Amino acid sequence: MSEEVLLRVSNIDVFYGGAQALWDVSLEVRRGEIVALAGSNGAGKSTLLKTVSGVIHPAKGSVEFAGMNITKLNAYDIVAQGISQVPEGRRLFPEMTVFQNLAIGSYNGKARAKREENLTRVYELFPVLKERKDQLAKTLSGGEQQMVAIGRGLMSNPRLILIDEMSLGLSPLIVCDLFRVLHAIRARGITVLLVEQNVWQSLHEADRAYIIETGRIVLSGNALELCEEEEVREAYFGV
Amino acid sequence: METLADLASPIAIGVLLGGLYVVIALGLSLVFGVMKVINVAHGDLVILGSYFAYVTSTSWGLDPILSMVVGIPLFFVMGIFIEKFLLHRAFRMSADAALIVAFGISLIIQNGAQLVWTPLSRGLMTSYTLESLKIGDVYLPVVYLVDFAMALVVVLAVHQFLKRTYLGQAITAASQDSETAQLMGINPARVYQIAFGIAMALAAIAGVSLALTFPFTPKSGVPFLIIAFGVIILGGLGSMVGTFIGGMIFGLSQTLGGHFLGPTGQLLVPFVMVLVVLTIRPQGLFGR
Amino acid sequence: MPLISLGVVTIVLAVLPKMGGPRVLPLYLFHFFVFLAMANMWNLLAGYSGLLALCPAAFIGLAAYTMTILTWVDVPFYVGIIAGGAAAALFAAIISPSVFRMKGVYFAIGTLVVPEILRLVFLRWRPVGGELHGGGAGYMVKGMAGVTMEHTYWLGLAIGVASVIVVGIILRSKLGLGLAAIRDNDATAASSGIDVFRLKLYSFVIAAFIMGAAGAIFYSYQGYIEPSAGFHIKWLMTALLATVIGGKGIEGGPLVGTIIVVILHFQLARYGELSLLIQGIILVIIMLAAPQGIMGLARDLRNGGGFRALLGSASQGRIKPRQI
Repeated sequence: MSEEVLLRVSNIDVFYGGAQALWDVSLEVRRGEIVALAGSNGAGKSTLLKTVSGVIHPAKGSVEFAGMNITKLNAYDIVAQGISQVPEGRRLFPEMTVFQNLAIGSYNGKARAKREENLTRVYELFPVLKERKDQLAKTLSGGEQQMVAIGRGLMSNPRLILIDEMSLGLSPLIVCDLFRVLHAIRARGITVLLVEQNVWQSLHEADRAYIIETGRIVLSGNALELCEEEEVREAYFGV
Repeated sequence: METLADLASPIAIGVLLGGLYVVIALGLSLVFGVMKVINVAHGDLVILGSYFAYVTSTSWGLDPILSMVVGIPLFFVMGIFIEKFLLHRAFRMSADAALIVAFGISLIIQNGAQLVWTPLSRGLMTSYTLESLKIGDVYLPVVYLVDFAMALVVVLAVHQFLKRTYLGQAITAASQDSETAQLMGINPARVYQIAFGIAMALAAIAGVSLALTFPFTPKSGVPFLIIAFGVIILGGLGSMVGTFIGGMIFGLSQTLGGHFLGPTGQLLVPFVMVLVVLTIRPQGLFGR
Repeated sequence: MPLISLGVVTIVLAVLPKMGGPRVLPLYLFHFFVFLAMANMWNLLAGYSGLLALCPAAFIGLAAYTMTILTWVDVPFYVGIIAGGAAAALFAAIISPSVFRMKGVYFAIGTLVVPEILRLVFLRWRPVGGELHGGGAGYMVKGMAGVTMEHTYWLGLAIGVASVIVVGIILRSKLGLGLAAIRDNDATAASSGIDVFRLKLYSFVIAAFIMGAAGAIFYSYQGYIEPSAGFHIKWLMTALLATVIGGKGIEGGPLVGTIIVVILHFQLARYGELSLLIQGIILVIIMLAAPQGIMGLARDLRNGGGFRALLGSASQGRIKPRQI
């Protein structure tokens, strides 16, 4: 884990659907980290992620990636820079097969050359996908769909992967497996920014975390330390 | 009472005619699937293709099929221009606005063509226009066989393009979920342009087919639009096989309608069928 | 338009033919009244009820044919006009269960097919009279002896004013409120307990009646009806263009738009086919540059203040694309 800051979000105000969703939000993700962004439903976590991936643009503030200002870039250009988003709700292409979903992940120019290599790696991470590679995405179970979604995100050869609500609707067993996968991803040198409603689990798996409430960052720091914080325990663990 | 033998000819021709309708419907379906907009000018664009073939054939003496070498790239570029500068702006306002703009384009093409080429009915004559192949008791006009063969080639080509190329898969992805497609690095505006360009190229091909087969006037576009729409609704979006079957069903409805009800029936039966299909099953028999 | 000024204007217009003046004026105004009725009704459908109906020609042709055929069995033409409107309304009611099942663009294409089907039917079907000499499928309107331009003028005035009153009443009624809800979102409206089908039906039928009556009045003036004229797409074009130029979904829009369309109609009349071509070009330009129409621009000027808002608002006709 290095000290090099890969992603720097500085003082962003973001409006979504006509209302303000984020107030003066800042965060950092360093290379090789797993960072969790936790908070309850509607806190603004997804909005923040979408601002980083370029789907939404901030009204104020900036987003920098690997030293480059990407605030005004469109989502489809940001992918080429090395950021990949695994969207909330998986959002697979329903009428395309597992293989086709993965393949389209390497659409952007730089990733195309590495397609076969990345595909092999994804199949190593998720062997069940190799079995089901010609199956239509919409016929898969929730856990399998999440695997495809993550795999698809990896196919674009990212340096930073953003994962939005990975555990939503999945059984704890599958969620555990997926978190194991996150560590494997990190071991390959890919940085992870994770958004989760499941505060407990994400704090236990991440290196650092930010707690966000009603559009503002309220706490940040080492994940395990945050677990011990009185406020956090009261608010999220019902203690 | 009609015997089956008497019906053999209209049935055979109806099936072959389906090929022509498939090519027309394919362009419409591509745009509809990707942009969720029905290009009501599509029929007129096909007729424009017919006039192009007519012009190259009469002015330069080119065989119409060869004229496609020029026609296809030309129409492709035209399509990109139309999408980029006209339809895209309207589409960003609302789906209704895009429909109205397409309607305006339709009228411009129809009446422009009427000014340039007069309402007189035109057709293409080639060496094989009047020839027929005799199979059993049935005479199959060669042009219909050519249409059908072209349809097979076109459908195969488009299918492979959509399945095997990155651009084709990008179009497919964008038509299923355009926001997520952006997360793959796909620029939706570019996808729309290319899709529309391809649709216009298909219109050019269909135009040649049509010009070889029927006489046409500047106003011939609307009936073909309606039938093409019926084909994609019946066959279902995104299904090549479905579109082919839909094309053949409508081809049959036209030839059999004409056989039993006279020339009015040739359009009346397909039109009524379109209404019925729209009412009963807008999502089609094969589609999603 | 406040009721009093409407009344005054109506009286002035009614007296106009008697006052001398340019002979073409009643003709222009007659066309204005008929087109106004069409535009008002189309605005009711597309601007207020969310029904982008491409079938006005169906109502017009059907009503005109009804009136004409009735004159062949000695029914006076002015009774025929009402009957024509009723026939169109009945037709609308009959096809509505079918067409309302179609959403969005399917509805547009579905309604596009309807006038085409009717045109083909009337090409063949001759309920009265025999075969015409030399073929053809038209009918002359009978019983028009003694009917002057003034009479048709007043009929036109009546239907034009009626269309304004009807739209005014509807928009201020419960029906209007329901329609506003439907226009924005069918599903939401339905979940609020609005009977979407019934409201759309009322709109559709009322529009069909008035469009039909206006069409019948027009063809009583023409004296002759045939399928390619009655069911011609130019009826849709006129209503559409007038509404879009004036401002879709705005009460005064069709009025303003119709003025322009009538002027265009007469200026371009001598150019034949060029007329529709130019109308098509105008339609595309307006939709792209100023989709909210003249009244819409005026409204934006008033609200936003100043020319800068005007320039900005032209590119901001941003309505959420309707889900299909």
